[in-house]
Amino acid sequence: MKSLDIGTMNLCKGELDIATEEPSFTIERNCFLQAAVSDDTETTLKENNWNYVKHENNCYILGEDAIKLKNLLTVGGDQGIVMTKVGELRRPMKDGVLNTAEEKLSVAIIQKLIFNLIGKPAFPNEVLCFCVPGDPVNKNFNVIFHKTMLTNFIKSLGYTPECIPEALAIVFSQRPVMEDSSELSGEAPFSGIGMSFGGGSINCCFSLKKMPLINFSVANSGDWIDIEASKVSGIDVSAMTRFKEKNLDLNNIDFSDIRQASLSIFYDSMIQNALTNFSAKFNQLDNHIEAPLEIVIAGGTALAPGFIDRFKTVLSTLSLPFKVKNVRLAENALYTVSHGCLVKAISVEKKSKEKG
Amino acid sequence: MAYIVHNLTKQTVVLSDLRAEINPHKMLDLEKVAERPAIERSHDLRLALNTSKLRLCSQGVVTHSKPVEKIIEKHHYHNETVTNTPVGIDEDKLVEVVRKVMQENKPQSVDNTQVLDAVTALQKQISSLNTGSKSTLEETQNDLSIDIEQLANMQSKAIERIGLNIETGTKKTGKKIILKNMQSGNLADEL
Repeated sequence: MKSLDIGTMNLCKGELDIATEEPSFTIERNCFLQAAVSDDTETTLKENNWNYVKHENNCYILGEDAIKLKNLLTVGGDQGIVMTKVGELRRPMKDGVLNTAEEKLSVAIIQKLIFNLIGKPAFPNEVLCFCVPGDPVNKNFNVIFHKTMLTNFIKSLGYTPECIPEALAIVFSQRPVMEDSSELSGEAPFSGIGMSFGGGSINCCFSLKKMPLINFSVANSGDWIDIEASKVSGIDVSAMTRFKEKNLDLNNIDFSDIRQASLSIFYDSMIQNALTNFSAKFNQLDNHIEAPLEIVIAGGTALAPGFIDRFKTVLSTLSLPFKVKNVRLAENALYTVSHGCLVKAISVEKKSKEKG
Repeated sequence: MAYIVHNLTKQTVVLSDLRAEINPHKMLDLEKVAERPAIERSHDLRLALNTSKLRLCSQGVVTHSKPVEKIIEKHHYHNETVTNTPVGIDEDKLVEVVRKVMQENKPQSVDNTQVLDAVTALQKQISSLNTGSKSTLEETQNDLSIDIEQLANMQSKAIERIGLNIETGTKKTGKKIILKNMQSGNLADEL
């Protein structure tokens, strides 16, 4: 059984090592770059061992290699490849879903990238669980389209696809508990709030005993922070992204530095926006939840040093319709969603075997 | 503001980059399925307009070639009326022709009142033709909802075909990381 977290920024495959029964994860960047056409482009790509595919006469460099090459070109090197007319890095996902404004070829190339990552099933009808974002609260797009496209693709490879909401995967992986006197143990497992701060979107889920009672996504996440902060600072978005990934520490903001100051402000705004939307959804619930809830956070955007402290600070300024037991960052936050999907895949596979 | 397009062909026109599907001879307000900037950027839409598969009915007004000068005067979603004249029929001209023919072939015994009644009856019939076509358009408007799943299935097939022509060059994946004590099996048992 396998899992796949298809994020705007990264693809993460999870699988269970048969010998050790421990989960293993492989990450690939979800992007590609078109190489300029010349007689020796393909030869050069092969010699340099770049990860690439070819369509008609064009070569496309995939994943991490695309980012490496783009960075090399930015600083002037070219590894012998004629890349003078190379385009921007292409990311065929936006706001957590397949970006259908991109041409079909882009989606086909990303499907190749996914295939390179997950390969063929180890046995017929192997279960592969992937995740999809919740319905967006501030964007007008439909998650069904994204889900159907991926289901069709995964099925076409010979897998049995299984799909769960992204933030529910955090709950499945991290098993938050909630006080519940009706349970023998006094607590209900898989009950709490999962929040995934990804590149394209934030996914939020409130699960009560494995059941997602609230599930939605907000489009303003990591990419949005970079774009807005770069506008304020007057620097390039990719430069802002690099600065954020290398230098930002939310516990030590130097407010005289416009880049740090603007990033700090937009982090606050992002967290506040997610919690405000969550509160609004919580108020619509029929169930009255008195027990304090645990919040588990995952995703690449939450990996910035000081994120959890910042989250708690913003949380303390808001009037929420529920009590908070504690806030914690998931262990191995970059792999948590994929791990949650893997847990689900193992469960489905086991139940399927039991049924015979 | 509406952005209505009319499928002039006998086949369904799919605008994959807008996730829109327009049935043969049907109309669709693209602003019901996508935002204006996305519509204006749409490659598929531009192609369909250039190849005359679709006709753009800007801001709810449809321009048609003669003899019909105006088909839709007003276009609103759902409840509001769409005024329409059937294609190829010029109501005034038709009435005039009928009146002329009746005048020419008028038997002596028939008086003017009877002629007028006949013309009125004919006008009513023509009007009923209009009403019929109104309901067809209303049906069209109500039929605007798109089966997203069906559209995604079609898109999947198109992408699969493109994928067949993509050759894999050098293939490699990132480094595998094994995480210990994640309790995956136990968690799965609890689910």
